Amino acid sequence: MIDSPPYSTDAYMYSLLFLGFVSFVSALLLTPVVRNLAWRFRLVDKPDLLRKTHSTPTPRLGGVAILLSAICSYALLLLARLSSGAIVWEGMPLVIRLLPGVAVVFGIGLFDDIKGLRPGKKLAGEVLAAILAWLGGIHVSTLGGYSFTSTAVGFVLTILWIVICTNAINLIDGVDGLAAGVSLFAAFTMIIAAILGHNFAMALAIVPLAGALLGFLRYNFNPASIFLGDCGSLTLGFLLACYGAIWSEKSTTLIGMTAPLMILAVPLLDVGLAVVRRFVSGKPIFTGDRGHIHHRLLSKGLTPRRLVLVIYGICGVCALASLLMTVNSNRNRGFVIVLVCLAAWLGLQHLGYSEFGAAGRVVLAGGLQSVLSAQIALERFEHEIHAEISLQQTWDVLCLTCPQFGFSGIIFHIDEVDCQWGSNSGWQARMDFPGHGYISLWRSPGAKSRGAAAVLFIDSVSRAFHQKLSRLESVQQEWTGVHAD
Amino acid sequence: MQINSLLRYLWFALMVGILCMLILRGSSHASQVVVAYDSSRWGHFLLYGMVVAIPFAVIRKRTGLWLPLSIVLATIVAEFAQTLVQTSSARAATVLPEMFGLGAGILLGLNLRKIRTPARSEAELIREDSRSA
Repeated sequence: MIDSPPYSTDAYMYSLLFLGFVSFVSALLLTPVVRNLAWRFRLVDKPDLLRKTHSTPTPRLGGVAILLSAICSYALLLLARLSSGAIVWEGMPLVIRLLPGVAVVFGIGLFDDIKGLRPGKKLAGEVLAAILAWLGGIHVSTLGGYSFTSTAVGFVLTILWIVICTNAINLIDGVDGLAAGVSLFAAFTMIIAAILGHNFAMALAIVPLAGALLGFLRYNFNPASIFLGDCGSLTLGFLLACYGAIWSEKSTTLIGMTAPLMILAVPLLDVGLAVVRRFVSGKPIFTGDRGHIHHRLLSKGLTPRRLVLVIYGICGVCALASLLMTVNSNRNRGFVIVLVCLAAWLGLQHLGYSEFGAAGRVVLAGGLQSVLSAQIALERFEHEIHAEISLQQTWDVLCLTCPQFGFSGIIFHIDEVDCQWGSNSGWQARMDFPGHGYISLWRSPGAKSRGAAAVLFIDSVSRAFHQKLSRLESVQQEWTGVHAD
Repeated sequence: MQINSLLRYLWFALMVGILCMLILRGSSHASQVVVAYDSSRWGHFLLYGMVVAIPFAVIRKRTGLWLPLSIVLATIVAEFAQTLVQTSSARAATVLPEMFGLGAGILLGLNLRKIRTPARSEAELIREDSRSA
């Protein structure tokens, strides 16, 4: 925070307006040029009818236009013989210490847009950029009002925060104008917070980004003629993460990372949901799918334009909440957090993720207990069948275990053992053992136990008896061999 | 007893509690509970949150929500009016947590309502589709 600003507040405000205006106009002029260049070099995103919702091939180097616009605005103000130039020089150290990280993250994004990059390599590049930012002085040192004294904890938190934010903006870039608009809301909120906190250096660093995003949205809003591309979305995520960390660091209040978390709530929630969703359903974390928040809203019948406006509205509310916390942090912080969490919960329920419903039922409605008891029963059954017991005894084990899995009847016809138990109604699963016979398990439609457990039991019976019978065969062959000798 | 009836009784009990605390505030008969409630911002937030969440979770018709919501708003207004009386010990600082509690209660109630509403069956949806066709 600047304690005694060398210039008047008016001079800072004029500089901010000048920077913002120049970057806005630069973006308006440069974006079509970059778009035409992308067409010329065939750097376009082709629709695939799966995850990509656009109908025609669209250029994807929007990030280049945004970065060039921001650089242009700085260059113009520094070259102009105005007092604003001197003020901008004051904020330059903050921009310069971010440059190595920005260069790395922009480079990997651009390479991904042109050649394509594997997720692992991309992640490694993002981690490298985050380390460069940490070396440049970007530190996450507070979380929820608690300050970390350990450098190692601060380092890990900073890397995690930057990498997660970078990927969050990259992941929501699935609908025209969504990632750019969400980033614009975040940037504007950070500018207001910086001005309110008299942190003009931070405001001077963010304003060109906000101006460039506003100009770029003219071409990126639905129907988009150019996309951000990975070079744009990764760079935006990286920069917003760094500014968020600076915001939390410079704040004199106890808000810590809560306010930056709140203004990036939508992309962060989306990336968190994607990771949990893929983990719960057993899919690789880096595999793309159609389960992101924007995909769910599209499947609910929203048009891309309306969807984007709905998410802008949510971002606006989150921005207001984070500003409210910045202005009056200690008194109402807890209430605002509770309200935002409840709103997020309601939103998630409306999106209707089946993964979370199923996981909730497993954990809360006794599902986990039934899965565990079924697993234990299965293991005990297989253990008993594999023991040195006769076929007649395996029948007894089967009779004892079947009711636990909802089976009401058994026909057991293996070698010389021919038995029947229970009622033969409902559906049956028949397992044939060539040269030995068969086992039929009957299950009535109204059986209370889980159907999935019944299927597992059928598989277990088939496997255990195949092994048992082949072992009995080999013992019999040995026996006959000894007698022949 | 059904859970809906239980929640309705709980709502009445909480409302009676709020009204009692409104009346008893500042009097010599004020118990420790009233004094503790009066000084706790989170107490106001949680109480008003619960009082608003219950009708939203229980009452299905939107028109049925007006009466309980109006009563809760009236108590907030009454509490605010008390701060204007010089002899009262009421503090304006508690009104804001109550408003936050109101918002949280609406959101919590909607969440609970969504959880308690069973998903429409496939057959129902098909029937609806064929009717609209």
